Amino acid sequence: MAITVTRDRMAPVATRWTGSGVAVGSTAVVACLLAWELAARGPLADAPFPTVVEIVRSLLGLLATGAFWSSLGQTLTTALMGLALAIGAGVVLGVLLGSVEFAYRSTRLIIEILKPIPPIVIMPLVILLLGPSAEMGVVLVLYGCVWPILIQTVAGVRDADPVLIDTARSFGFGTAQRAVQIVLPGAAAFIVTGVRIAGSAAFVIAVVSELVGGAPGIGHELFVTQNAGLYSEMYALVAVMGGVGLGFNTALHAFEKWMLHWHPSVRGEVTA
Amino acid sequence: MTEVVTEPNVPQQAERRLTIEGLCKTYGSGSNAKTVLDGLTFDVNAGEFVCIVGPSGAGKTTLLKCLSGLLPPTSGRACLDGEAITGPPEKLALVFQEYTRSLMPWLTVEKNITLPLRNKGVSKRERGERTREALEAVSLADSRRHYPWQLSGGMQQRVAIARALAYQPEVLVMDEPFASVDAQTRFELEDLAQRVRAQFGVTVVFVTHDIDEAVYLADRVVVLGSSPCRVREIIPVNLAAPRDQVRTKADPAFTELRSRVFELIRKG
Ligand SMILES: Nc1ncnc2c1ncn2[C@@H]1O[C@H](COP(=O)(O)OP(=O)(O)OP(=O)(O)O)[C@@H](O)[C@H]1O
Ligand SMILES: [Mg+2]
Repeated sequence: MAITVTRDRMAPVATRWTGSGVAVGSTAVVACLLAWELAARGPLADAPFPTVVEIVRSLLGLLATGAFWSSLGQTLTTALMGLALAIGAGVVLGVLLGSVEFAYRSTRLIIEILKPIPPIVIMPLVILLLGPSAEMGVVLVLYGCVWPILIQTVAGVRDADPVLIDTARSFGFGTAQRAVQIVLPGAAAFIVTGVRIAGSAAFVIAVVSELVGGAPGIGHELFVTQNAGLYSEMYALVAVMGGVGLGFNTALHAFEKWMLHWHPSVRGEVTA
Repeated sequence: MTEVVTEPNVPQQAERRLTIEGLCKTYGSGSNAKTVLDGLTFDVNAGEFVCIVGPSGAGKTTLLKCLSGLLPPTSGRACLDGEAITGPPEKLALVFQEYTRSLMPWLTVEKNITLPLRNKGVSKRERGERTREALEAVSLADSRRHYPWQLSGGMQQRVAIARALAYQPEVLVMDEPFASVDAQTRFELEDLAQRVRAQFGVTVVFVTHDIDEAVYLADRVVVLGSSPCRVREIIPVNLAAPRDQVRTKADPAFTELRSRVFELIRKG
């Protein structure tokens, strides 16, 4: 029994960003910014195209205002609330549809039809119902995020190992206990992938609901600066959104790894 | 089991833990119907170690699923302490043939063992005690914080056994539990099965297709024939206890018994 076992829950995993990857990536970013700066000073000097220096100055100005932070907070709240509701609805519905064959069959077509409809298409309807409000944004994020989570949950539930289910039954687990303690964790890999796909869309949809639909938030600020011709502020906002989007995705990846530390796709080596 | 005395026409009921009466199982229906079990009848007494042998695909797993209430029989019945088994009985624990798949990879060894106890309403303190005792019985006390996938196949099988032990069943049903481990581990696990039976006083129903293993472990060997599966013969094994890998297997009586079982299986 002299078997050495990795004690770490998180054995070293091939990370997406290796040291040299970061170096190359940052060099490319700097190069792009330089090219921008040169273009804005030279050939595009007359276009509504501010220099990087001007954008950075506007950005610093923005960061100093309370209004900016409250609208950013508003957008993040919309995105996270919509995502949380989508996770709740998607997982609960997914477990139901995935475990009841009749429910699965009767809803499959409806889901296939609704899934490809982009949230922006249903925006007019939601605005009609809720007005250009934060709730409208939340509903759009919920709508845009629920499909991948629902579909992934259904797939994960249907993929549940019958041996594990029988094991639970033989130990007298009830239906609810099996759903929560066996089926759900077993489907976690599928669900978390769904959440990651949905999550990267959540922030974008929140911004669009503000930009196009007029809900309060950073997207609405963007609309305002654009109309007022405040181009360096506008680009500063765009830069902020890029940064927040990146942060969102990084957080989602960390979440995935944390949730699935036991899963073959995340854990280090596989012992037979 | 005190009321048995009031039933004079079934005097042996007191000792019988499991009774299988004319058990039939047909998978599918219509033209796809396939009869797997065809009228099995045998008993298992309290505290007895019964091995079931039969060719691969005979229906051994199907039989165990009926015994453990996971699969309803098509006709006939299986009874535990005189009551027909219609769902998974609390007094019975099953160790699956596919043990790697029967452990939850997202839970540590310890949590895998305590989860069924928690659902059963066993107190936290007792859960801890039972888990410690069961892990010690299978000599895995050091691995309780590991995840199943960090352990070798033989260790995972021992976790599955420990989980069944901690459940404190009166009947322990095992489906080819040692089929996919190396010979050395297999001998260790066989002796573990013996110890467990002596230590916990459980009734054991043990499926295997290894004839040596069956004769070595059993008080009685139930030999099944295939397509469809029927009881071919029930062979009592009267070898001295405790059994020993070297001494018992060198006993002429052992050799004779294994030849008999072998002949029965070969005849198909
Ligand atoms: N769910 C099922 N539906 C239809 N047929 C099944 C099902 N499960 C098992 N069978 C069939 O029943 C027969 C007996 O299967 P079973 O798994 O009980 O055999 P076994 O004796 O346990 O075999 P092994 O020694 O290989 O484990 C096989 O022919 C198998 O194909
Ligand atoms: Mg089998």
